[in-house]
Amino acid sequence: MILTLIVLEIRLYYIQVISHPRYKKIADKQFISVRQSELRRGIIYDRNGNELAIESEANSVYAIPSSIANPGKTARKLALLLDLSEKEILKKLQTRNSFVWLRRKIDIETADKIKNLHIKGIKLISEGKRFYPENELASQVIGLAGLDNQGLSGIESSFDKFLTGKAEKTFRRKDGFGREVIAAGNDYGVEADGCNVVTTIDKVIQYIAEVELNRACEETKAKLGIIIVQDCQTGEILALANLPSFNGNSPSPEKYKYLDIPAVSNIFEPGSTFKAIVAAALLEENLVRLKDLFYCENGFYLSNGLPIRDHEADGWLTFVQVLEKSSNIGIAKAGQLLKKDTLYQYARDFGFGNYTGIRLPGETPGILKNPKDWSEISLSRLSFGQGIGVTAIQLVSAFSCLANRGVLMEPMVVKKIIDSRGEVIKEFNPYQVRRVISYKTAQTLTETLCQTVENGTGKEAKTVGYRVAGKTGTAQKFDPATAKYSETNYIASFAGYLPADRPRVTILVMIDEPQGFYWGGSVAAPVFSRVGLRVMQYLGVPPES
Amino acid sequence: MEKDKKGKIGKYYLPFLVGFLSIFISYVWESSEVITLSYRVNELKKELISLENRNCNLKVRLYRYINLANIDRIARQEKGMVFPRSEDILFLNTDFKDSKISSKKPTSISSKGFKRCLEKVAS
Repeated sequence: MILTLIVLEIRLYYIQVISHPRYKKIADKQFISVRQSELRRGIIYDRNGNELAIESEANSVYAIPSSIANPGKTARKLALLLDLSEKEILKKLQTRNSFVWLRRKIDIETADKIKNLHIKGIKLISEGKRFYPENELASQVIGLAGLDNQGLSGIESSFDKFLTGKAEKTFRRKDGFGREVIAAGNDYGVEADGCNVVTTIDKVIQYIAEVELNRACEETKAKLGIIIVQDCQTGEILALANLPSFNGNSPSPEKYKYLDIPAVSNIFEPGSTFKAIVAAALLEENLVRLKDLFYCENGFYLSNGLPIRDHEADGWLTFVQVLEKSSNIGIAKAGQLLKKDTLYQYARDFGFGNYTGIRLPGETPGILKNPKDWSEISLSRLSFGQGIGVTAIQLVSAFSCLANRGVLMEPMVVKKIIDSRGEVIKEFNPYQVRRVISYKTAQTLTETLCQTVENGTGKEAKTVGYRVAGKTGTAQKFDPATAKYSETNYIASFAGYLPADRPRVTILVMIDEPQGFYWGGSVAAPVFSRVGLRVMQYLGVPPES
Repeated sequence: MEKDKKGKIGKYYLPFLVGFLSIFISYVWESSEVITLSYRVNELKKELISLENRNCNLKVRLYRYINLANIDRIARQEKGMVFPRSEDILFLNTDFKDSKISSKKPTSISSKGFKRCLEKVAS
């Protein structure tokens, strides 16, 4: 009897003390569940609190191949509903895996239809899915989130770490039926839904810009188009429209072709719009006065052996007329008054050849060669916007600098980041990069640019009731195949701001490869006028006249 | 003698037993209550998630009707609405700030003046 008790006690000691860690591990496996929650991705708002990207519910279809009795019949039934080929589904159903995704994040209607089929081994699971309430609106700026809720482009990508939220692995006790139990020892970890991002985009202005850009691109059968509307005093981007764009809600893989934001990633030669920058440098350096005369060689001039042409055969023109008529010869001669280093420094100061800091993915600094690498013709060519590569965002910021009386502001697309409890965790304030030109020079140039719109090439940019200061641009595209400027492909642009006396917004319109008419003054300027008028009316800016 | 002994045991140990049992019962009762409530909390959590999801789905359906492109289409095509002419628009005196730039780093957004004006108009 005593011996039995001793044996029992030894056995108990072995189980309770020596084997304790092993049995605890087995018990924990049965009673503790490890999980990582799928957190809600933050919302993207426009500047007025309108939702531009929200989280919605979607169902994903998966299969347990071993449970499916007739894979052929099942594949046939599902093919139509899932928009996949029968062969593709059958291949998935015949794998040896215990679990296989058939289609992720399908719409509610399709999910209901699949549920009603009651196929054994075909299951649905609920997941979060990104939904873009305005479909195509600002699609490239907002960007796209992938199937696993990761940002792929636009703000979705550059602010991904804020939007995603924080989910640690957590440990919860469960009962014999697998139900979660609140108990001591539960580790709830850190779980925080994604933060919300408030952009500077104004949904209505964005819509105005996109409608007008669509119209312009349709009329001209252009390859690409960009319209940027910027608050010239703060640098906030109110609208950034790119065409072609995509609908983030569309299941079509076509959308992945257009994820880049051409306004920040595409480099183009600014053409005559750059004359405004050269004029700013000349006026600031007191190298020209508005009434100074330049001989424009009746439209043809050989500069260091290379021809420069004007679209009109003009003789003597004042500096104001050179800008009004957008004379390449006139500005090339004026530009040669500048030293290479000086022009380079002004271009740099206006933000060319450098990142603007807009916080959008894929931004390029453009191309602005060091003056040491410039040839003899560089100075004259650069004066009318050849031999320099700029992005649309750089060009609009440079014009905003003129509108802002000489102060360059950093362009911004995000105003603040708010956490899931509504607390502001990061605020982006307008930032003055530098003063580039004096107040006086900026005002003088604004008056000159107003003349360009009143009497010159930018006549069609006139906006009823508001004085516009702006400059047209018609840039021949460089053809890498022939290593020459193309005679058929152009970029038509217009950059300007209004109301000229107290500027509120700067607008850049850029139409790439318009068919038929290709002049900035006839293709881009009318678009500027339409957008400008509607933006002024929307912002409640009273007409000046 | 024996009765006295039993009486003494009853007198001293019975309250102890009752006390022990009541503590034991209240512990069991509390634990069972905690578990029952935790089931309820979990059920409510699931209900909340389901309601949030339903809310999201309703939002998605709502946005199909109220997105700008749809409103624009209905206004123009179905209701025959047109944009007003410039002369038909009456502008409020918005008293915008002059756009003179100071050398100080700006800290506020430009729409403040506009908001202030709207507040004035509203009051």
